[in-house]
Amino acid sequence: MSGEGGQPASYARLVRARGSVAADRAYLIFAAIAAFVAVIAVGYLLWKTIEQTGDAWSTFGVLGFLTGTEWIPTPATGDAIFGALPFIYGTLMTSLIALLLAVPASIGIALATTVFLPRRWRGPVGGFINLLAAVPSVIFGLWGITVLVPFLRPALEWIANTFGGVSLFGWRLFEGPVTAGSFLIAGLVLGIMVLPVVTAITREVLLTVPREQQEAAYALGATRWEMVKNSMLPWARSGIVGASALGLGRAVGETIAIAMLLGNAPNLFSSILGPGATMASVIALETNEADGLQLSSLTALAVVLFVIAFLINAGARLLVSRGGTRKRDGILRRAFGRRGRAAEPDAGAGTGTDDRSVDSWTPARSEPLPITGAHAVSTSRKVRSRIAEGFIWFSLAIGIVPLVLVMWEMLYKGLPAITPSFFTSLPPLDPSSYDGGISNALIGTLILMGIATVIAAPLGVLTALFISDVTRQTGWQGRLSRAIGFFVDVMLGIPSIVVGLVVYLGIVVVQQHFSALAGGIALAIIMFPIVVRAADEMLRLVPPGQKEAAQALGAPKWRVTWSIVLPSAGPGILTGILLGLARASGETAPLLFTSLGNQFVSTNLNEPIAAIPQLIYQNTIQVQTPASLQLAWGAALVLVAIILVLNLAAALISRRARPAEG
Amino acid sequence: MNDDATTVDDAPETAPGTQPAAADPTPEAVPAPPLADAAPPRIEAAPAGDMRSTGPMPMYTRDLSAYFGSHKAVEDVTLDFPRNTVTALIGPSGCGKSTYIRCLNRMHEMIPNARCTGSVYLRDTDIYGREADPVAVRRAVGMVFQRPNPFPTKSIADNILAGPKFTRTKLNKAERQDLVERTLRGAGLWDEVKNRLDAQAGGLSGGQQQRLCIARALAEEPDVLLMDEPCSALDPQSTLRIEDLIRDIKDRVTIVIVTHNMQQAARVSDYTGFITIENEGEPGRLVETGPTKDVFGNPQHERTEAYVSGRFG
Repeated sequence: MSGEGGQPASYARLVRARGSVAADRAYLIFAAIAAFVAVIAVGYLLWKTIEQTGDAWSTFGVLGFLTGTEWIPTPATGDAIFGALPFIYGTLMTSLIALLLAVPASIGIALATTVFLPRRWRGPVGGFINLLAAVPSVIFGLWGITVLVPFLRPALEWIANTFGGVSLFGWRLFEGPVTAGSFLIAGLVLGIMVLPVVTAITREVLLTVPREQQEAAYALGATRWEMVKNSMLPWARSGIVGASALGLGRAVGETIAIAMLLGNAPNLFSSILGPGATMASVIALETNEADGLQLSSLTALAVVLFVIAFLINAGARLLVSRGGTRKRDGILRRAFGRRGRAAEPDAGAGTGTDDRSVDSWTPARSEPLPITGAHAVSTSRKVRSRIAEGFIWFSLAIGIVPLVLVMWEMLYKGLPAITPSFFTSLPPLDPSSYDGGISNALIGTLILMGIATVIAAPLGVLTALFISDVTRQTGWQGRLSRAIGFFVDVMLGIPSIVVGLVVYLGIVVVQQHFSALAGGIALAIIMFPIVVRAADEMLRLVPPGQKEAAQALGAPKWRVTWSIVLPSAGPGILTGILLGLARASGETAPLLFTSLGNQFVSTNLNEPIAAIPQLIYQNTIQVQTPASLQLAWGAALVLVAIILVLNLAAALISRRARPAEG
Repeated sequence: MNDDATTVDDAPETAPGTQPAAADPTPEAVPAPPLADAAPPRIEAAPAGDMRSTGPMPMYTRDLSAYFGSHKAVEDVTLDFPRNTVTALIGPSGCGKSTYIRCLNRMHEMIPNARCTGSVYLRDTDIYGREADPVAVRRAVGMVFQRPNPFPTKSIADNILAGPKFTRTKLNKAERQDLVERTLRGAGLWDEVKNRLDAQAGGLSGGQQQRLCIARALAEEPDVLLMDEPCSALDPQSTLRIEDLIRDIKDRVTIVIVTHNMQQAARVSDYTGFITIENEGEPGRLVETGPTKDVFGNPQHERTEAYVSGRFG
């Protein structure tokens, strides 16, 4: 009975019932299994994929493949040659054009919706721009082919005629002939597509700029633009770079719109008014007919694409999160010192009399702010501010106009197609017939969404619970769950075409047939990381006081989760599931060689099945009659309606039920 | 040995949930807190007739040190908490007093990388011992937090019943009603809420919420109740009511309270421990303990005197 030393006498109340301990253990094991199932399944598929690349590496060598300039699958004479360089070039070129458009425009839009627009307009306009993200890739492809290409043709012809002779070290950038699909067209559309991503993150970063900073600039007599330039942009710089990099990560993986608009020719350093091909587009267009060395080479391309996308995403994430941590730095220091100087101990902080601090407030090269405030704003300052604001309104137009045009086209061309029989009949066999509908694709999409949800939602939520309950622990368990968290982040960055190829190699090739199940699994792989991340974020928002209260009452772990955490985080998790579903439902690329498509209504999970995005793609690319295009626009309208409903539901749920404050 | 361990000694009267708490109210009141017993803080006063504790010292700690990662926040605190008394822990901000009491019901270890060394004994059993389970420990040692944290969307009654629900103690309707009424009465909240037991707890005022939290903890019939600055988020009126409540319930439970407010410590506590940090970067250490009137009236250490007289901290 001695208090000190030895195994002391036991007080029964400190011992927990065996059942309760077992329940806790069962809960953690269950969550762990879910996390591992997902990781191991994806790991297996990736392994199957990497295995497939062996032929390509051994035939051409890693460096030989990466630097090979020719891609000739079926040569007239001799062996087939596969080199990756034209596609790497195509991917980088289209992404570069896209970013040249998207980054400045995104910064402008983000500024408009945080500073320049009247307060009550900021939310709605921001939300409207976000709608761009809800429009699936395949619809941009459809719009590009039917609207943008014919519209821009004269302008492109003019460019070719005027600048055709310009050459850069022998590279004739603007040489004719102008083709329907080209780097410039694909890049422009790609730019519009990544715009909402870059805008959303830039906006978020700008919103972290402390109010005091903005007020400090205003209080010194800065115009709105001067405030933005001196207070907001320096603060947000690394975040904006990160946002651009995330946009780049999205751009390199983009598939279907590019496949529709780039013309698919493995050209290297050719005119940007002519056709090209990207890694993603060539995989999308050639995989179905490929085998042997060609399939191996396409897979190798997918691995290269995945690595590039991973590196870009990892770098971007680092930049964005580093931008966030700077919040902790002293506000004054940030206001009065340039970034490089912030490291110096309080360089001029707070005093405002230090030469250097005044210098850092100098807006342009010459002109100091009128700190004494005795004189009015000079004309040149006014002009500059006007020009800057003009740019911002122009950016806003770049974001809004294409969206309005796409929406308009969709309603104008799509609405006539929508009749009751549109939902109940099959696509017409005769491509010039206006009769028929999309019943096969509608049912197919619903089934695919169902499969994806059934797989991804429970696994995703359990994985998030596992991460949030175990990450805090030290030792190997914590490390393990952090590794799973990292893996989920990696999955988030896998381009969707790579997901398609991976499922093709791991399931379709193994089973030797296309199936709805394979398509659903591909969509689930896209959905899973979105669900995990959303759920994880919501679990973090559960008021710690609530959890503590339950723990202090002696609630077992699973009880805390079941009674406190899930009810509080539930609506947010549901939102995440809906958003993941919305994203997955618009995907075309992963379905091309998994669920394949089907002319008829099918409910057999082991058979190929139709899907709306795919129907749009086929009717645009392969058929292209006025009747088939009308069917495609009608299908696009239905698809966007489904996605908007999912997004709207998600927004309503998350607005109605924020986690209660403790 | 393991199997026996749960049944030897004082097992009979300690099976959770079976204790007749109603047996407690011996109306001849608690013997006045043994303030007169000057001398060492380890008081041997053992009022007879108590059925809940087997010894005079339901809880005591030995060389308890607490860490956040490699940073030592509290060092070697050895302290006793005599039965049915209120012990106040005072000290300047950041001295580790909250960290220390979070070690007393194993809440400290819920913070990532946080751990502690040394021992905390509850009824002579180390709560960090091999057999002890953190979840069970927290039922035996209740806790009230700085900010009132009732479950805001649960009803008032369901807040009281949260503990039994978590531990899956089966109660019939009459038992539930009885528990709710008895506990709310005990917390002096019954008259204010008896007509809206089904209302959401989030609708109560801050002071009511905190008393509900105390009631919720008491419904578990803990041996010890830890209170981490329970009044710091409340207005003076509500604070006084909580202090009254503390005096009311100490005949049923041993109380450890962390407070910033020296008047409060003087008003409610029988014993006081003063924890402080000597120099920046050092861990908090227990400087002085003793009956409250001695610590405040005749402090033995210079630091204590400086603190209680308001000269620092």
